[in-house]
Amino acid sequence: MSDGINLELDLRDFLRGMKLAERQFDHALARALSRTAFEIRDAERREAESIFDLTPRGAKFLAGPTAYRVKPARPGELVAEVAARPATAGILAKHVQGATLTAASGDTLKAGGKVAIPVEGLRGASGRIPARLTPVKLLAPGGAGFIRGGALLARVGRKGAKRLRMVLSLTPRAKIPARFDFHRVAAETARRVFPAKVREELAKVRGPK
Amino acid sequence: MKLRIHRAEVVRILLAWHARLGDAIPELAAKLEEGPAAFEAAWLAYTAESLAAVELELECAAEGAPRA
Repeated sequence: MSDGINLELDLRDFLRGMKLAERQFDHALARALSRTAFEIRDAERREAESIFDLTPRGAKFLAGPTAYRVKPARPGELVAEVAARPATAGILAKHVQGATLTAASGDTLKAGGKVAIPVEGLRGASGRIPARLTPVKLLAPGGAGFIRGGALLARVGRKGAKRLRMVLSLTPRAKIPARFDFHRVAAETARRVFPAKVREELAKVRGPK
Repeated sequence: MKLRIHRAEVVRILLAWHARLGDAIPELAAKLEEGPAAFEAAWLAYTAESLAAVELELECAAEGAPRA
């Protein structure tokens, strides 16, 4: 008789344990999703480093630890998200979709109604062009620059040793190819790492105590 | 980029996990008699075996990709 009562209590405990074990699957899947999302974030950073010739400033925006944010999954909502932060997305979007820049494009240097492209070596370590060599400064009244053909030239050097230097080349439009395939990198990484993450996390699901 | 596991996939896991549980109960119960460590090992082995053939589908949605 007493055995019967004990068995009933044990079974109830066991079934409660089973329910708890079932809930652990949701936790395991959420962890697998989140870990996959962090792998994608790191893959995007590596991709940016490999395809762009980045200055320290560019590296911070496109490949730095905070360039992409991960929103982890939760057991109740099995969705994880990887997205470029706004400052990163603003720069990346042109390289993800491709773009044609003209003088009317907001985010570019321009001179004489054309897009102004800095010659190699003009940018400093920061990735920026020295203020004195921007079209606005060079072409201001009394400035050292002037436009000839498809170039913005600047008079440089001291009196007696003056010379002309080409600073910016001018073009009606500049094409930016689509070469940063954010989605492909993410999908390939997910396909590669997700199965193992799931296996690892499911293997940790504990039984009834 | 959004990674999503649909509830149907979770149900698939639970079904696979439950599928052979009835047959495995006697062995699990015997391990329970042996002690917590033996039971835990048997339990993990059962979980791994029952889910070995399950391949989960992961949806990768392009939401969140950088856009102008």
